[in-house]
Amino acid sequence: MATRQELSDFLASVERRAFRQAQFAVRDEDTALDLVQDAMLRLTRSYADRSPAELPLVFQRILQNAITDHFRRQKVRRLWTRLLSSLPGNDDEGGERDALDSLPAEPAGDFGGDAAERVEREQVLAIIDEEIRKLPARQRQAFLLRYWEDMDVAETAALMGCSEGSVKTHCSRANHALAAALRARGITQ
Amino acid sequence: MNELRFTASIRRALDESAARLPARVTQRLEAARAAALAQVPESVEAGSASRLAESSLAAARLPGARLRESRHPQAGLPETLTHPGSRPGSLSRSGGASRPGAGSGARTGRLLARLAVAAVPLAALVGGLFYIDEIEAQRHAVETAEVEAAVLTDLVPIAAYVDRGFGVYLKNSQQ
Repeated sequence: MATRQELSDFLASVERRAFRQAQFAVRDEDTALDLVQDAMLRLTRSYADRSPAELPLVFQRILQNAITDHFRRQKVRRLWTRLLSSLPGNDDEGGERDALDSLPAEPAGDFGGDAAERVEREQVLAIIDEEIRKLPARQRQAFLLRYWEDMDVAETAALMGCSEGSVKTHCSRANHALAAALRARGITQ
Repeated sequence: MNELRFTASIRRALDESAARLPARVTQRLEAARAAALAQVPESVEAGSASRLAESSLAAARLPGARLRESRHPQAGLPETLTHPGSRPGSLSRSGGASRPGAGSGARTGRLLARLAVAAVPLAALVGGLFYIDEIEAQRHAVETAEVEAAVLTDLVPIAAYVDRGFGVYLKNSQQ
């Protein structure tokens, strides 16, 4: 049974990685923070009596479920929004819609002092982040759980709800895709 | 590239970027941790016992608690939740003390039948919604493709459309 101090130490040790994992998945800082907070609350509310050794796996399961639930909710919300917006009389502009409006705005150029001050290492980290974000969701999930969270293949498979073979395949593909992408961007070991 | 070395270097990079999170993020994480820990009692061991007691008391305080308990005599819940007028162990609401659980099978069957009847139109509604969603998505994709094709085959370069001045010019010329 974990003590309060052990719970605190555990949460402090995983919170940043949990946030990054959630951020990779949902691509939004605030949403990622909300998901991590929910996961922490659920852990201390329902699983505080677990032993310290069990906490990493339990917390990962809660976090992954929270991320999955987020996507489910988002899908349902999108479905209703689309259905409601397709009803007649819901268009302010008399039904005309400009497809260019849906194009994402270009990121603002950062040509100020910040760019000059950036060190090379930060650029490399940003590129690695970007390439990890570009990985397909399942590959990224398997890669992060295996190599960042130190889960073994069986634990990763249990968390992802797939077979151990699938985990190995996802990890291998993620490795190759990431290595190739980084090599293409001039990042080698 | 050696796979182990590669994953180790990625792991280092991930650790490094996690360590460099902006202050607003780390502050919110700290606040989240504090909020999570606030609901844990000083001693988790003592806390779990008190939580159990609290939940029992809370259940006893609920107005429908007695009714709910009396419907499930086999649940083995505390005597405090029994019907006040009945003997300990005689938990049946409809006076079925001598036959605990009698009629529960029939009730469950009726409930299941009612649920099944209610589920059919619900399933049809959900199915219909997903079908409409698919149709809508398809229509939207076709529309977008048409517009994109028109834009790409246009004489005006695509960059012109994101130019605010050009947009104003187009609006004015349409008027």
